[in-house]
Amino acid sequence: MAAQVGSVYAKMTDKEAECCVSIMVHAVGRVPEARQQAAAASTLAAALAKGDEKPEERMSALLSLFAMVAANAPAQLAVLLAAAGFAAASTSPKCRATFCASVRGKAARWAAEWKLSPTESRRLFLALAAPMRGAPDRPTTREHLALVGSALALTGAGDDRSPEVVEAAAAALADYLRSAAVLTLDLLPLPGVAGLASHAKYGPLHKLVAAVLAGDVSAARAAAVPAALEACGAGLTADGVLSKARMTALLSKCAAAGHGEVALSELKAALDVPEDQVAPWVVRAIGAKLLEGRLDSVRGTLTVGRSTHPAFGQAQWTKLGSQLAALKETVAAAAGAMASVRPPPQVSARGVAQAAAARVAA
Amino acid sequence: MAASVSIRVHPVVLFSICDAFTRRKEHQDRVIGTLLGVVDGNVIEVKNCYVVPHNESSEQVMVDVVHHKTMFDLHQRVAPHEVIVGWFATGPELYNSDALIQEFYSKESAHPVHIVVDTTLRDDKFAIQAYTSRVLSLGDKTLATEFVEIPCETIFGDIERVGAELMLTGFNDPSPEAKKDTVNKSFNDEAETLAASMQRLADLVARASDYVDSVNSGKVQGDPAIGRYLADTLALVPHLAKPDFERLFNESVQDSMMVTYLSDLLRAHVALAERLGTAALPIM
Repeated sequence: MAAQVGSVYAKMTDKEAECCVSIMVHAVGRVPEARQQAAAASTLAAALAKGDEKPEERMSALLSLFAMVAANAPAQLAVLLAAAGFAAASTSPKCRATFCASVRGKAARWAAEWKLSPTESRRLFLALAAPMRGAPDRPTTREHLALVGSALALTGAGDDRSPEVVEAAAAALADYLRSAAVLTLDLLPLPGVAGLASHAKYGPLHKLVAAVLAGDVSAARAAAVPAALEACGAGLTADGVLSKARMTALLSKCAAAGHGEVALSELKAALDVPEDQVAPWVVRAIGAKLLEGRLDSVRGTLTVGRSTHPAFGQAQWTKLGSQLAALKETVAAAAGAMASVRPPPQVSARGVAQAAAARVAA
Repeated sequence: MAASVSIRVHPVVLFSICDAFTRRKEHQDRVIGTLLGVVDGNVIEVKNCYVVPHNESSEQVMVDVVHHKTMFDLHQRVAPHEVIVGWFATGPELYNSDALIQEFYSKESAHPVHIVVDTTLRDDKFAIQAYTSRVLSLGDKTLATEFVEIPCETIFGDIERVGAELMLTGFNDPSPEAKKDTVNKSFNDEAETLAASMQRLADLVARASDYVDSVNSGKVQGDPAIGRYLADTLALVPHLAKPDFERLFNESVQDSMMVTYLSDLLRAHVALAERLGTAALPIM
């Protein structure tokens, strides 16, 4: 039956093909024995993922098959991997978008529910990340970076140079640079990404990302060599990289200031722009909700309320620890103050009223 | 995971469905009703619902269409922006007659959704499943209606969250065991509520602090997403020096205590005046 999937899509109308494939999917769902059902699901998924025609319909059928075998974890994993491979290889943007929207935010839950080993989890995360490469929308790009981060966190010391890991890490760095909306990246410390620094092809890309993430505009300008831009793939220019580096520099300065003030002259030096261009950059960051603050053009300062951290490393964790310790003290002081200011019941007005009412009644 | 459509359900809808199920007639296995809400792109937000009386057997289904239309007209007067987005049913699974009911609601809404609320509490779970339907046809012949499961989540507004959390504490539980714990609690006891809130805040801050300390000491691998979330949350807390905070807090508490004292005093005066006014005077 699965072998006829290609003929069904090639020769039938859309509605009839949908009906026939739905019947096949339901037939798999009715296989009583779990291992046989998993085998049937794998076979049908492989058949659905094989052809090129009608990619959206095939993806819809794969997702229906995934839902149909909900009680069978091995079957679900097999179908999911087949769907991920099909979406990654597909040239249809709608097919990829449907798959990405369907799996967003669920990978970690699936890995926990199906009790996958670290190797299997890494394989799943990398498979789910592959169709998300080069996605135009911010949520999918963020999900891509999160999945690659999760996969690389499970990568052992011996595996960080494997071609699969290297390609996934490089794709994540490229997506970070290409996306104007994503300004945070926590992958650089991971072994799989750190290893790219010495890679022949992706070394320049790693150097460029490190410079951008550090908020060093001059280093980013120097690192935006043709080799790095080429490794990033189509859609990235030196101007785009410079713009991202400037925004990251602004956020880095503001995040370091915390709840304090930053002089506009410092921002001018960090962004490497004329003085009259600093305020537009700040306004752009506030408009994109990356930054909350107040510009004082008379005093030449920016009072920072909140800022996005481009990278969240050890320094940020240490600062967070001290902030939480201070908040703990403040809350304890407030709770203590509350307990100490409550009047004892015998001198409260309610106590007096109750005593008076009791005397009158007597 | 199938379609890109997803559903968000407000808790008042679920409470209404459960209430309708407990009030159903004796011979009824399940209740059905209409869902009202708004459609925003691929997300359907279900905000309200009402029960539609029905009778079903193995062969046919009868739905009180007049009641359905009357209720919809009444709801439209109150909330004209809410439209029919689908229907609900209680029970552990789909019924054969669901296809007929879905066809009825297809005339009321372009793409009606169907929510099944499992009131049997199977496996100690309150399961909620949402479906859309598609017709399977071969040539001109309609073979079946397929229900495709879609993601469904419950969303809480800030006001709804306060009520839901209060209910989770067992405040509204009529059973004798719960009464023992809640007998001294009151909505109006603001000082105790504030103290409880402060204690809860202190516990949460302690938990967050313990986690961050574990990351800093290397015991746990820190999750940057959690770190960013904590940093953004702390950025919302006003930064005051400890003496300033204590002064502001004490002044605010003293103001509240003064208002409470004066209102209690006034209440005592009124109570005394009532007693003195209604006490029988001795006949001389």
